[in-house]
Amino acid sequence: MAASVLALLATGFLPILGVRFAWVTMHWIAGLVLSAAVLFHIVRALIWLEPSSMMVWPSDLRGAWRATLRALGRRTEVPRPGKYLLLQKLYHHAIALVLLATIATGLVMMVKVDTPFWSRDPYWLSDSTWGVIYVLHGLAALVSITLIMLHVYFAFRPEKLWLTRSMVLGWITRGEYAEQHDPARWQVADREPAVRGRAESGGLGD
Amino acid sequence: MELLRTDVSPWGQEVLLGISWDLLPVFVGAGALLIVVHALYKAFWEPAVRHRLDRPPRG
Repeated sequence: MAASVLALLATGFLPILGVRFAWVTMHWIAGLVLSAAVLFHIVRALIWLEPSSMMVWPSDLRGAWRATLRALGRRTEVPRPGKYLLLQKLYHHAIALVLLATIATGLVMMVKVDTPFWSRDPYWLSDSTWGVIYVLHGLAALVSITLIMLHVYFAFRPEKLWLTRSMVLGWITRGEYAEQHDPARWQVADREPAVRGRAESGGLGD
Repeated sequence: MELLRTDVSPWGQEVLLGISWDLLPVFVGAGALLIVVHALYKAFWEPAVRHRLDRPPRG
């Protein structure tokens, strides 16, 4: 998914910046790869993962409020999150909205592109409707740049490297689980594949 | 700075072409600004607050 997004940004924005190459075919193929990856993620998340862990609950808002007070110097206990922090949930929803908007408008725009499966039809929609489609596609692409910059920044922050590893490899250690998460809000079985025991973290054996 | 790109059709009507690419530096700049603000917060503000909170409360 990340590779297809980077390919889409490169093939979409480099021509705007003056780099001339045959970008259209690469762009729509990367778009179809992203569409398939997002569809796979949605099915997997809804059936095999816990969609409720990504929902924003009142306890998330209370925890964020306490974290804000503590950041301002107030002595208060900040509750540990369940599986995800509020900001992680909000980021997910923002990037989901942006990617779904680019995918939906991009799929419609493919009507105007010759592919092995159909010939282009620029008159499928009115000029004004095409304009709205292009505005939404471009706006979502621009917002995605800001969001991806933040994503990369946080991925390389030293205190977040364990999260980056979990994104790449799909697991955290028992020590990280006990230190960073509230077991009452994110219950995992002893053999939960997403939480691995590590001797150095004082956890259980894998 | 224009927000939208438009053109005039052969029939003299204004046609919407898309969002203005003049906005590209705005969105890149917004991302860079958020990163700098957060990095400064982590480098200066958070350690100072933590140092203050680690001291036992007076009284």
